[in-house]
Amino acid sequence: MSAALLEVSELCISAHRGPRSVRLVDHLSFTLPAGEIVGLVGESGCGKSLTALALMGLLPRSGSLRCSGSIRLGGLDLTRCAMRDLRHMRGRDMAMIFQEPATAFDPVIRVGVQLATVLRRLRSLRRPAARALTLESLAQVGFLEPEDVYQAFPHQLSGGMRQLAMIALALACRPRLLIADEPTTSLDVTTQAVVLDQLKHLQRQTGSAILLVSHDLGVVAQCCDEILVMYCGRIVEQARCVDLFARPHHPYTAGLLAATPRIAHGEPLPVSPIPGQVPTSGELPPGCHFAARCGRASDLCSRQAPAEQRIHASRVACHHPLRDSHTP
Amino acid sequence: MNTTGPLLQVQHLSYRFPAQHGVFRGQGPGLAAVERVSFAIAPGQVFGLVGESGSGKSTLARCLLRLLRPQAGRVLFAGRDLLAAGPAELRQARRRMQVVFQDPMTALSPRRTIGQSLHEPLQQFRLGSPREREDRIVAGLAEVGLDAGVLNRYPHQLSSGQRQRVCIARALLPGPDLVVADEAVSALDVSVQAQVLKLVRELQRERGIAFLFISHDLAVIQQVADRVGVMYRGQLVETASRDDLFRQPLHPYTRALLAAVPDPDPSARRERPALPGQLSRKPATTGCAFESRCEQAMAVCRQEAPGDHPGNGNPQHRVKCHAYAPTAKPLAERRGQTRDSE
Repeated sequence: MSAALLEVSELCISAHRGPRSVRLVDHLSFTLPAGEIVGLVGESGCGKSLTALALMGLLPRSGSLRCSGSIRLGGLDLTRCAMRDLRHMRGRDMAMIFQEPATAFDPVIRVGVQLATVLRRLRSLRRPAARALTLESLAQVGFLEPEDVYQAFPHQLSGGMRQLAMIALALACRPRLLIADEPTTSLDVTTQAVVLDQLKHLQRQTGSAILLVSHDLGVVAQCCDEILVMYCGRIVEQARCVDLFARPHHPYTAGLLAATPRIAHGEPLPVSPIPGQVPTSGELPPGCHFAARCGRASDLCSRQAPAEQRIHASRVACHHPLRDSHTP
Repeated sequence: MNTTGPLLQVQHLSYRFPAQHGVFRGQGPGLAAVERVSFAIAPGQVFGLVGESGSGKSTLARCLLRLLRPQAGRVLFAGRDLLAAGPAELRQARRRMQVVFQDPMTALSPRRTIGQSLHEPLQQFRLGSPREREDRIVAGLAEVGLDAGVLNRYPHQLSSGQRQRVCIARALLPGPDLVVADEAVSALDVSVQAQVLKLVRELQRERGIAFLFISHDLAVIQQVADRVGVMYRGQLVETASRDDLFRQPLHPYTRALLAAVPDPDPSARRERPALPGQLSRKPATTGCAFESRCEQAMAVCRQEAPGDHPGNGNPQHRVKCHAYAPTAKPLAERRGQTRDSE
């Protein structure tokens, strides 16, 4: 494994109202090596997007959200950086692609002009050079008529095209860390395939590390080198992609895999739901948050939060993890 | 009710959205959202309708429920033509065909308790005495796996999975023969989605309720459907039994769609995206709607819209593609031939 580009340790995010507080992200620690695509998966409300925003330094520093722990990008602790420095780093060192590209663009300015403006600022280019670079990177992500896209207003492009334009920008900026928060969730599957392909292409070409936030196990299985599984604000399992799908160790990971429908060429493969539902963040049980839905839970699980342990190359936070003999 | 015939029969249904803006408002051809769609649903059958966004799935569903009035075609529900039905007849039919929408948060009134929302259909259709209604509602909730404790709660106090169950319970209360589920599980997390899919199968098996199950997700469709229809740009391009469709998809679009679904298995990675033509803003040709993206397109595809052909001699497997016309050359002969240059 190459050197860590991003080191997150003990990241906690909690929401406060008066004397009450709710922990939304709970002691998150992980590292992101340079040049890898790491998937962050989990169901809605588990804290994926909050984590992504925290990494970009986009959470409000005052107000009801409180953030602690450290986020080190190339040795620099982002939580201690001044807002000005963060602004300088965004785009150059780290960039983000959001779920809904329609809201990421200004609706009354042509797409190409918006992209070129960013490039002029970030890379100190003059107008013609920025324009040329924009056209070049639009062509690189697969647009057959880059000039046409340059001149289009955001509403004239489809969702997939807008997302690809965002990727083109990331390609031109070459950030060291790219955070893609559900980049294909609002897209059709055939378009999704194109966008994911370009994301992988971008990673190979620029060597950027990508944190791919998604709820879709299929998407991360197709793209990622490493996967982090989150449940109720905690990372419950971290493993290499191939290992995670072949031998899930956390019962939640195993349950998630069993609940995900897969296409079979013939009779459908059975799916089995996870009983119960995700507890809301205000009513988290003590101990392991998954205990109430877990078939392997014991008394210990409802009393004490499990510490992280290593099984082969994976990290698992569970009192009763599935060992290899329990391969589902 | 005629038990041998189909429960719902749709014949050559077309719907065009009229032009909305400018001086030509209400005139001109408008936008064809559903074009000459025909299919049937047997009693107790789950018909899965799949397609990408904008393909006309929801518009079709709204036409069937007569929430929209199609310009052409017929919708026969239990043998009666819904498009010709008067208000009283339509009301009767609607008791027997209910709907579940994608987002339960907007489908339930935020100011009403779950109990009040569930009373509504029974009051509307004057079903049962007030005391019986209470019992039916509790029984209906139990059927979808909820207990009576939710009756006094408000939608925002439930989880999204529970809310969707409430919507399903509400749809089932009037005793429908057909439930139209429009992306009913799309907003749910996978662990909860599997619960709702299981519920749909149980309702179909145990109560013989037919479903029109609409989803953009082929894997979900395979879990619940008996028969599957694939829509592309307003047309039903392929219809087949579930096993036929997934074992041997025939239409090039269905094949591309299947190939594009990301498989949750990292050992089966694909390198190239399956379908070209996403990134062009050029409009479609007058022939086959899929022609510009089809790798097997022939000269005829650009000129003529394809008819409905039986696939591989199976009359139950309908494919709207020139490659399956009786006069077409076998696929093997056409392989290797390149597309005509643009």
